[in-house]
Amino acid sequence: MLALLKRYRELLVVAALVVVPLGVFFAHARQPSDRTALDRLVLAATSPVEKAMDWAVTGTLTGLERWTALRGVRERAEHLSREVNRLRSENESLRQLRAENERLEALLAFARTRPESRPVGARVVGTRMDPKGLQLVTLDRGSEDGLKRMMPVVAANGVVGRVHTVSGRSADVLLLTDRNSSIAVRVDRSRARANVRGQGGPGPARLDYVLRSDDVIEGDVLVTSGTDGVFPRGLPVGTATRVRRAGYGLYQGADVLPAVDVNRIEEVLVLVSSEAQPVSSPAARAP
Amino acid sequence: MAAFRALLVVLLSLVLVALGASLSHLVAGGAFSLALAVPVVVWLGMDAGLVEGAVAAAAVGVVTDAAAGGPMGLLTFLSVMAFLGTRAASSAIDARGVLAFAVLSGAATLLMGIGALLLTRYVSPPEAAPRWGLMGRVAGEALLTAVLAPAVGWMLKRVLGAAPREQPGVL
Repeated sequence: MLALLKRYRELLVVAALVVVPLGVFFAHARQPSDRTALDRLVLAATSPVEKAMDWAVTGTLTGLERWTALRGVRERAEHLSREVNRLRSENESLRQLRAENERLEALLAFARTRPESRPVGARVVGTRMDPKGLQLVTLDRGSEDGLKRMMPVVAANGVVGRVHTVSGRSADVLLLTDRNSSIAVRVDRSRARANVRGQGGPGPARLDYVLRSDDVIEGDVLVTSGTDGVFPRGLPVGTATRVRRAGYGLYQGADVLPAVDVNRIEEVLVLVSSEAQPVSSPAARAP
Repeated sequence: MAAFRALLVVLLSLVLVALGASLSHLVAGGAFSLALAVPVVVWLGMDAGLVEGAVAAAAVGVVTDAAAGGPMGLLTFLSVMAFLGTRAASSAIDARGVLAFAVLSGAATLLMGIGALLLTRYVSPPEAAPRWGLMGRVAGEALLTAVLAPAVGWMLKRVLGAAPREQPGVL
């Protein structure tokens, strides 16, 4: 018998490999109610093996599928990174457009309040604020657009300066912070008269010629008085800060924080037809 | 050495099953299926010894059974049968080339599919029995597997080396 088994050992192994799986399959496939004792025995015997195999194979397959899914992730990440950069750039561009739109809207609103001034919109295309020279900005509009020397230049917040030199398609504006700029103003609250003179830098200007007896306090808003022959009356110029009243003399002094940040202006209005434009005014004789 | 080769075959079939599933998912979202483990069984039938090959084929069957998620034993049984069938076919004809390997792989896939359908229909209640309409899918799977079989054969040769068949004949 043993010799017989030994002789046909290989055949028996192969037969077992055919029959056992088939038996396991039938035992599994039968409805629970139809299962015989043999089926239940087969199931009990194969169940742990089945669970272990299922765990191992499913785990490995999941791992391999995840690994396969990672294929191309770097390219995708690079693509997404480029996309993010593009969108950021686009977002920044839109943000700038919105800011420009807000500025232009403010300028337009300002222009609407002074239709008689015939404001001409201009873009700042250059800046020269050398402390050794004049404080100038260059506009992209010139005499071809009707600009002339001494015309007032304003932004939505207030006075920027006046047209200094004009060429065909551009003009230089002398900023109110230039030391040659002098603007006649009134204290909006007390109507006291004074002059705002630049100090040659983009910082505060100076309030000159305020009588000692005049009522000026820190925080007072200064508006153009219209008496210098350049600026129409009522344009905001700045705010008085650091009021200084000495124990003697005719005048008191103060610093003026300009209403317009001259370092940041991008669009301005040139008031082509303001109520006062005498070219021969004292301010016009400034360099 | 034989045990090591059998283990390698099992691991390779695991990779191939995963590869087939991923290819099917990535290329067509599961519109077709691949049975890349079947060429392994065919290769065993052409090159391996009887017991070693049968055991390895059964192991490949267990892997495919576990991956398929159906009742255990069906694909194990069919794998061993495919191994024996290939062994018989390669004894009867001189099937050694790439084309013969591809044809045998396709035929084995088709027969295993038909066998699985028949057996599942036999044991399933009528309302849950697989429909004959699945035959088209089985045929497609066989065709695609035949197309890809040479690549699997090349990989098997690289990994396991060309081992001459130890015993001629079916059994």
